[in-house]
Amino acid sequence: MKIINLKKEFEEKIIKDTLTVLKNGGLVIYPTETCYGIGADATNPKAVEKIFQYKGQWRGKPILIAVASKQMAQNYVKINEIAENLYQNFLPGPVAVVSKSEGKVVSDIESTTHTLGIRVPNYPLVLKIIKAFGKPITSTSANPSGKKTPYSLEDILKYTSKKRLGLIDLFLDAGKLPLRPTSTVVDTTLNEPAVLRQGEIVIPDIPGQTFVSNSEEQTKLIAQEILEKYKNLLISKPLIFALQGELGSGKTQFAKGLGQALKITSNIPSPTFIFFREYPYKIASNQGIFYHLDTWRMEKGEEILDLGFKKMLGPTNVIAIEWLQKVKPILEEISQKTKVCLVWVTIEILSETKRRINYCTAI
Amino acid sequence: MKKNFTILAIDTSCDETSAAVTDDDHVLSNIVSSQVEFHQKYGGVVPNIARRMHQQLIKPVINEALKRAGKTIDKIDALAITVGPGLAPALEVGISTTKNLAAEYQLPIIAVNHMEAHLLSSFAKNSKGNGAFSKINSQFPILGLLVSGGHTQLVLMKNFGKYQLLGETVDDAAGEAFDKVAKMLNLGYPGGPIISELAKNGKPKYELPIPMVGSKDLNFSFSGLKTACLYKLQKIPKKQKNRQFICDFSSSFEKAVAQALIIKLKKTIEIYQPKQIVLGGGVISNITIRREARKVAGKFGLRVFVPYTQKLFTDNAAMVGVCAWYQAQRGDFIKNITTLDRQPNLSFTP
Repeated sequence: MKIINLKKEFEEKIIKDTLTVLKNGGLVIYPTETCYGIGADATNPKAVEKIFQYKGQWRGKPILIAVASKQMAQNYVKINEIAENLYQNFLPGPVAVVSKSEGKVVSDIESTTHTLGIRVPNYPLVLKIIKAFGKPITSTSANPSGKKTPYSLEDILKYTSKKRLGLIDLFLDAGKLPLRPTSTVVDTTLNEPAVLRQGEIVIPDIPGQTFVSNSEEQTKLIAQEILEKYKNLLISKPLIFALQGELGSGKTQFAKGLGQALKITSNIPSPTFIFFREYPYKIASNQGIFYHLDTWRMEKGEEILDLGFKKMLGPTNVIAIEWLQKVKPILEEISQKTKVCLVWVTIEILSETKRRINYCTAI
Repeated sequence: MKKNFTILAIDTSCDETSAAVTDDDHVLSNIVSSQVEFHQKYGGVVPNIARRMHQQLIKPVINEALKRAGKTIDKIDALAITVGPGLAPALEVGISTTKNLAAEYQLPIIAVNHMEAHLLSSFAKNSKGNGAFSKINSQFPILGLLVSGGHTQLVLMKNFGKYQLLGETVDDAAGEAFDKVAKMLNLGYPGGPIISELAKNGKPKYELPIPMVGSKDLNFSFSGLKTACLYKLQKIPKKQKNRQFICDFSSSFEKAVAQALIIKLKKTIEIYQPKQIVLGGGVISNITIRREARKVAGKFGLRVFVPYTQKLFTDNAAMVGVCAWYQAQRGDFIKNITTLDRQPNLSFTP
């Protein structure tokens, strides 16, 4: 392992030596605004293989890459609205942005769902190196898996075996780095604005009704009133309320109202994290289970089938689904093949206190 | 009664498949599926939903936990399994695996409440015996504040096994509020770490309502704060939503969440006069929340305890193993294994 002291060497020479190593598929340890990272040509399978050997058990786990700019990133991932915001405002910096990969890097460093995490390190020399190299380099912390995050050459020499150190060609020594935490990774592929919009429903021109709610309490009462209209159907089929409305429009309030109508006394909190909650209910006419689902954290709508959605479709059961956009095709298919009563509910924000609630039944 | 137990603990309450081996309150290993990659062992791609369904991951996770602890299953005295609260189909996988292991190796089962395990996570010690409570004895009552993606709870612990739920969220959990506001700010998922990171470079200059500040009970609500953020953000022209604005807004939001938690924490301390405070759950990774909790506890001369490693904040099986050891000491084993079932809505019962 060759060591270059960055304070004592000319920048041109540093860049030239580093490029030689990268072009030959070698490994370079370099400073960033967080810890020392280990770099290899992210498009060279042999170079990436060496990274996995060095990291140890990390094989198969996605590895971040570093690029010099958003323009360069665009060659390797699809940048959506969320990613655009992050690149615009927070890069270069200690934030790693996960997007859909274009498949131009070694596939082992992508995630299993073909996403790729990108860093633009806030370290001018490193950006110059990547720009001159013209390709992304890996950007994972320079410690073998399970060892201390390295902030100095000493850290690496102390915690890394000789065999592993033998894999490193070059160390760009910037001395002891400030102890800043490693970069924060954010995934921009969940709930892309475009995807949520795609599923928006054009309300069919069939008998339905529109209410205006002036408070959360009123939203609950409207939900009760709507449930009342369909209650007699419960003897023969389940009722599904498919709820559409942006963040903060009151979908959970609507579900709480359904729960009240079903005489459920326990609290009905948001099911976002847990995907669904179930509440047994008993009213004069019948008894069953109220399922409260939320697709917000689901990558794909199909996940509701894996969660046992079809088993929920027994008569007398009432189902409320928040963020119906992701499951709309599934619901449409089910409503054609299975005996269910599907009620589309859209909640629109009119003002800080006003909501327009529309419902209609799929025929 | 036997006092020492080597426990194999399993937690499949929601996203994570986790297994751990604990020796009494010492954590020997703690494997969490998202933090370790197993692809070579079962050869293939594991999409998120399969991860949540746990079937493919549970065996390799258990084997890895035993291996890292340097134990074989014949050295295990009991099995611990989370029975709730959680996602029903996910809980089922852990429970059926545990039942099979119990039958095969003739091991007793301890059924664990996932939230009780979070509450006791500060009592965990590492393999060398170091932990938050290693030099200080517990003094009851202890007040627990549990904050995560799915839960926000205040729990009074009168002793091990004696709990009273004092307050919880009536709508969104605190962690969920972080995710949703991050979405409004176009910051991606998960929202907690990125908002906390950006808040460091911002000032809390936007006024947001502190949820439930006037309510007399000890419950939380974060849905109103979420909506207030939405209205505030709608009024700001897109052009003004630059780096500094996002950092300042993140800081303002983080402060409002911390205040909401701290106001209720303070109120609870005044009413129930606990001797110690414990924190648990993934959201306590947020340093502002930890700092504010310490500040208010300090005013009452109380110490705040947090788990010895961040790995014990988020969902993990080691806390389940530690909780199970306390249960084992009081003979709290499952008597009839066939009736052991998931309890997705499990809560603290007095």
